[in-house]
Amino acid sequence: MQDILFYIFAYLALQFGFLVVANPFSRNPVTSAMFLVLTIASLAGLFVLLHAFFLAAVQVLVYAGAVMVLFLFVIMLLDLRAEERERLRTFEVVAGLISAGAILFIFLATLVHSPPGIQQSPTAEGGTIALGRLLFSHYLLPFEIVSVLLLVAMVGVVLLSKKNLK
Amino acid sequence: MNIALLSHEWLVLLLGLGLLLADLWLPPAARRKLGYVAALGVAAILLYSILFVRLPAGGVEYAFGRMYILDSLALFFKRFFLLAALAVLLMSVEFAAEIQSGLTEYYALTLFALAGMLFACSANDFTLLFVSLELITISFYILTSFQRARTLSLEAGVKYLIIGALSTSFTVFGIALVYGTSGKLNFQDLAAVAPQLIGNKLFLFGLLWVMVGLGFKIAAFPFQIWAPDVYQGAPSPTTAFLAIGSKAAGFALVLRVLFTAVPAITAQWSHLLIVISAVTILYGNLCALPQRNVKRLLGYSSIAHAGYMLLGVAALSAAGQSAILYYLSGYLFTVLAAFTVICLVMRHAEGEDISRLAGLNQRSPLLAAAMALAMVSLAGVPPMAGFFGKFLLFKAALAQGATQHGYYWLVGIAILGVVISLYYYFGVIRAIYWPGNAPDPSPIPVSRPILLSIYACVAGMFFLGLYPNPVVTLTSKAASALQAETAAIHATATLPKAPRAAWTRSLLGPASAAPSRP
Amino acid sequence: MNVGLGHYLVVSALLFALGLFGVIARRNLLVIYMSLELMLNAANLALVAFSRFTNNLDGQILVFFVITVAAAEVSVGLALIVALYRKRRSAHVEDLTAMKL
Repeated sequence: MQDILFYIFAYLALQFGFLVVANPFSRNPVTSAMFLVLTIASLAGLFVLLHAFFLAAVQVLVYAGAVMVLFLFVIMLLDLRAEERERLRTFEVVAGLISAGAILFIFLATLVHSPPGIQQSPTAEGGTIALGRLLFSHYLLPFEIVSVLLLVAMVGVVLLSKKNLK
Repeated sequence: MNIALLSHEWLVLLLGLGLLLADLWLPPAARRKLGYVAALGVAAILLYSILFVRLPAGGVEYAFGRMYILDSLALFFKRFFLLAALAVLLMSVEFAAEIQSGLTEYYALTLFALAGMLFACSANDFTLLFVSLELITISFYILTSFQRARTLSLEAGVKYLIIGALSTSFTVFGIALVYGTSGKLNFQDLAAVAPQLIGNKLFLFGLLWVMVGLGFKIAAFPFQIWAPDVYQGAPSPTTAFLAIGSKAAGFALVLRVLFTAVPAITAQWSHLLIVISAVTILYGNLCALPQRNVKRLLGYSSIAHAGYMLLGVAALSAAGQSAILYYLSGYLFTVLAAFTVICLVMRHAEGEDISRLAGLNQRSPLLAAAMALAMVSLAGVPPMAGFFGKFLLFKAALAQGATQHGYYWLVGIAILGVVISLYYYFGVIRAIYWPGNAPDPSPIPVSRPILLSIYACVAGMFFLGLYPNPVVTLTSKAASALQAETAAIHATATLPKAPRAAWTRSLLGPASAAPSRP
Repeated sequence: MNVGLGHYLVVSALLFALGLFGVIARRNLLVIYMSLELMLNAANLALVAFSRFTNNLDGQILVFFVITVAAAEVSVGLALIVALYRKRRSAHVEDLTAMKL
C-alpha cells in the first residue's frame, strides 16, 4: 500500500514539476504557479510517507499556503498579459537540457556506484513533540538567527515596495 | 555554557535593533547622524573585543552543543569584520544623500549583515553555516537594491537574488548528501567519520556542492558571473562591504569546512584547487583589462584576488592558511581606501567611468594619493600590503612544489596575472595624475571622520607592507587553531559526546535527551 | 521491489534537474524564481528521506530552517521583482541590460 502511494505521489510531483518549468500549452506564469502548488502538495504526501508529519503540515501551510499565495498575488499585481510573449530560445533550452542532464547523470551514476548503506529499519518519527524538543534545545541558536533573518526580510520588503520614495 | 561567548553577536544585534527603534522618535533631518552612532557602537564593540575578550586556556570554547565555536580563528575574523563594518558605516554617512528613503534601515541592515558574518566565522555545524550565510545574503539582496530610483541598482539586486538563490539550492542539496552519507552535521563529528568516507562518491559529490555554494560567495571561477554586475550596480558602501565582508566570510567557511571537517579529502583535491585558483586568477585579470567603469573593474579585480587567496587554500598547509588571513587583512585596508575615495568622488555622478577621476590630484591631493596607493597595493608593488601578502601566498605554494609540480605552474600563472593587472591598475593611476581637464574642478570636501578612516587605511597598507611581523604572528596563531583542532580529532578517535546531552539536559530536564517521541 | 532510500533520492534528483533546467531555459523572472523553489524542495525531499532512513531527526530540523529561510527569501525576492517591474514594465531576463561588458 505504502509503495503504491509512493509511486503515485512521486509521479504526481514529477509530472506537476515538469508542468511548472515546461508546460507545452501555456507560458503563463499563473499556470506555472498553480502547478507548483500541486507539486508542493504531492511532496507533502511524500513527507507523510516518510513519517515527517510536522514538516508535511508546514509544507502545506507555509509553502503551498503562504509562499505560493504571495507568488500568485504578485503575478496578478503585475498584470503580465503583455508578458505572455515569452518565447524560448533554442540555445538556452539546449544549454538547460545539457546541464540538467549532466548533473542528473552524474548523480545517478554516483548513486549506483556508492548506494547509501542503511542497516537498521527506519524508525525516526518527525512528530511535533520530538522536533520541538530538538528545535528549542540543540538548535536554539539557528532558531534565534532565523528570527533576525525574518526581521531583515520584513524591513527589506517594506522598503522595497513602498510606493513613494520619501 | 557561557552566554558571554556570543557577546560580539548580541551587541551588534542590539545596536541594530536600537537604531531601528531610535528612528521612530528622531526627526528625519537627524537620521543621517545615526550612522555615526552606529559607527561609534561598532568601534566600542571592537574596543571591547580587543581589551576584554580572551580565549580560555585551551584556546577554544564551544557553545550550543558544539554548534558554535570560539577559537583564535573566529576571534580574528570577528575583529576583521568589525573593522570593515566601521569603515563601511562611515562611508555610508557620506553616501546618505544618495539614499532616498530608509537611511536608518540602511545602517541597521549593514549591522545585521555584520551579525551574520560574526556568526558565520564561528560556525561549527552545517545548520549554523546555512542560517548565517542566508542572513548575510538576504541582507545583501536588500542593501544592493537600496537605490530604488536607479535601474542599475535594482537590476544588480535581481541578478544577485537569482544567482544567490541558485547557490543556496546547491548548498542545501550538498548538505543533504553529506548529512545523509555521514549522519553528521557537526564539523568535528564529521571529521571523525570522514576518513572512512573517502571512497563514498555520494559523500564527495555532496561536499563538492557545498563548495559550489561557498564558491559563489567568494566569487571563484566558474561561479563568479554575478560579481561584476552586482559590484557595479550596488551603492558604493554596499559594494565595499560585499567585496570585503562577504568574501572574507566565504573564506572563513571554506577554511573551516575544508580543513576542520574533511582534511583527509581536501588533501586529495589539490589538483582541483590548483586548477580553480589558476583559472580564477586569469579570468579576473583578463576581463578587467577593457573595463572603463571603476566599480566594475574592481569587481573583476576582486575575482582575481579570490584566485590569489585560493592559492593559499590549494597549498594545503598552515603557512598557506595563515597567508590567506594576512592577504585578507591587507585587502581590507586597500579595498576600503579605494571605495571610500570612489564614494566621495563619484557620489553625485551618474556612472563611475574612470575619466571621472581625471584631475583628482588638483581637486583633492589626499584622495588622489589614497586611491593611487590602494591601486599600487592591489597590484602588489613592493612597499605595500598587497606585495607582502602575495609573497606569503606564493611562498606557501612553492613550499609544496616538491610534492607536486602543479604548484610551480600555479605560481607562474599567478605571477603572470600580477603582470597583467599592472596594466589596468596603472590605468587608474594615470587617470588620476594625468594633467587633463577635470570634468568638475571644484575641490572635494572631506569630513573629519572619513579623513580619519582614510588615514587609518593608508597607515594599515604601509604597516602591513613594511612591518609584517606582528600581523604574521597573529595570523599564524589564528590559522594554527585549524591545525590544532584537526590534530585533536585525530589524536582521540572517540569524541567527547557529552556536551550536547549535558547542556540539553540542563535546559529541559532529563526527559529531553531522547530525540524521538517516547 | 520495496521502496527505499534510493527511490526517494532519484525523485529528488529528477526534481532538482527539472528546476535547474527551468532556471536556465525560462526567460520570465517569476518562473525562474519558481524553478528555484522547485530545486529547494528537491533538496528538502532528500533531507527528509535521509533523516527517516538514518534514524536521525537533525535532517528534518534543517528542512524546517530551509522552509523558513526560503519564505523570507521569496518575500524579499518578489518585492525586488515588483520594484524592478514598476521601473522597467518588464519581468524578463532579456531586459536586464543596463550593464554590459
